[in-house]
Amino acid sequence: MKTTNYRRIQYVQNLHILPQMGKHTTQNICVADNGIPILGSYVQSQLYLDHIGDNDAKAISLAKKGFSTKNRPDAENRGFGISSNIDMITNGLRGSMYILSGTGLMMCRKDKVEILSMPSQTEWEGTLIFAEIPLDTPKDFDFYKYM
Amino acid sequence: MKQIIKLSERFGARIHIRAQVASLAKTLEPQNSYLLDFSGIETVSRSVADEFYTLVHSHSNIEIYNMGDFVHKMYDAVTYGRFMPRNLQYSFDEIIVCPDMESVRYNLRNF
Repeated sequence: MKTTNYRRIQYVQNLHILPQMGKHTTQNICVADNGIPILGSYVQSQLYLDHIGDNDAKAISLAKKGFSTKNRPDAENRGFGISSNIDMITNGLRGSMYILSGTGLMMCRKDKVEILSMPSQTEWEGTLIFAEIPLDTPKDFDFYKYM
Repeated sequence: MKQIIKLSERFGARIHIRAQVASLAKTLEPQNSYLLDFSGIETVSRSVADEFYTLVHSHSNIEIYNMGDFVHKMYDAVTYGRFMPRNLQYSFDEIIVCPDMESVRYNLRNF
């Protein structure tokens, strides 16, 4: 992917946010931290580990489906971040989104999702999210539909 | 007598971090009554709207008013979510195991 106008706009402790223009047709945003990966968040909260085991790719898959580490027993209103953002960017804005966390990599676009479990030399100690958002917003896009 | 807190004077036009609401909550005295004035607040994140919902519904002496259109819609979305528990079922997407870098490259190229 060729990029232009690359600059880091924010650095807060261990969080980086990198916006850039891609080929003048997309706005690309990369958010990365070097904290615990998504799997680490599940381990920390001791949730869903029977299903995930120690697999980063499965952890990403579960997060994509909305399984939050911040669940409330009666109603869920936290932990919307990953699942709703993927939905908004891929289905709403017709963009694509990539999540690298530990040794798991998820690649999403409207018509396709692939999750890779990668060898240890690719490991990212934290989570890196890259979103590629078309500058032409679909006319039927409704921000509130994804809230 | 309710004390009016003009949020824009404290946070500016945008409130996007849960911790900002938490810091506000720490300054509120349980024996006092408050009106949280949202005039001048252009946007709040979903998480911030969620924190305000919790704040207002866990303290009978806190009310909110003067929400702009965007903030109001975000607050409504959060309120709606509180009454719509998720029905999640365990299932995983197919996971492609890449034992080496060549298979990683192959899958990246072909996505």
